[in-house]
Amino acid sequence: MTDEKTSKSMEEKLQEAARHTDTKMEPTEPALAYFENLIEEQTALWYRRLWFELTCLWGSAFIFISFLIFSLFYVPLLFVLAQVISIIVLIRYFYKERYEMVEMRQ
Amino acid sequence: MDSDLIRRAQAGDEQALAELLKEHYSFIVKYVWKMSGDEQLAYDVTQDTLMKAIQKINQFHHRSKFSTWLIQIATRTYLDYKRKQKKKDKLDEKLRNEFPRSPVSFSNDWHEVQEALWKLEDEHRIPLVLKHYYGYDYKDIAKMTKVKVGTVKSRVHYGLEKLRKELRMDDR
Repeated sequence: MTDEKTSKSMEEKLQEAARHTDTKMEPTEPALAYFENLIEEQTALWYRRLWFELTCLWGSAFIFISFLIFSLFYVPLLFVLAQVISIIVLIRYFYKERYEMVEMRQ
Repeated sequence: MDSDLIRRAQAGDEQALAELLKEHYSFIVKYVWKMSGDEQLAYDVTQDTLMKAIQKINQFHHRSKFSTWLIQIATRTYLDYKRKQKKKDKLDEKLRNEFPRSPVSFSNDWHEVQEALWKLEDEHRIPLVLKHYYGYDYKDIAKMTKVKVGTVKSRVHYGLEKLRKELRMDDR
């Protein structure tokens, strides 16, 4: 009983401290231009990252297609194996995406 | 009002996003400041939080308040900062000076409580601030701090215990 009472008064003290601290703190709020610049910087950074990722994607696609052409002519079994693995990965990806979509709707 | 700004921001309206961030800036600074007791760190963490919010604005699904979403990002950013720095918490002297002890100490309890709170470790202080300063429930705090609900409950409990002990020690 006493413990409960002490705990309650401690919670009240915390809430009082929060109220007072909040009124005493006066952060310097920047002008709207600061936020606009920040957004511009972040957008530019996002585009730079997008270009880098696209370059990497096209690079790896080029390497993979070259490997497929090579395997088709010289090691046909490897070509078939690569196709099967690709199909499995794609099916898994679609299942995972579908599962996440259902989860998001719930 | 907020949800209209958010929808416009998500549709690519940079002006709306800037207004939205400006609206919540002080709220985030105050939250991190109260949590860490370090003014400069509060500004740094807030800047990083805003940058993450800009990058992830389309991942906000309107399931919670926008401020809750920002607090979640700020908490994780703060924890990342602490992990990187691995420094001991320092009390903000400037803040202490701004809150001088009154010679008549009839209602100065809150100041002692705030100081005692800053002396606690992060793992106890953060859930306590979120629970008793901002009124979030255990489930939300668990989500924000990436720990189990039971862990949050026990941390709040032990945090209160430690705070009580700390305040009793100060009384001596």
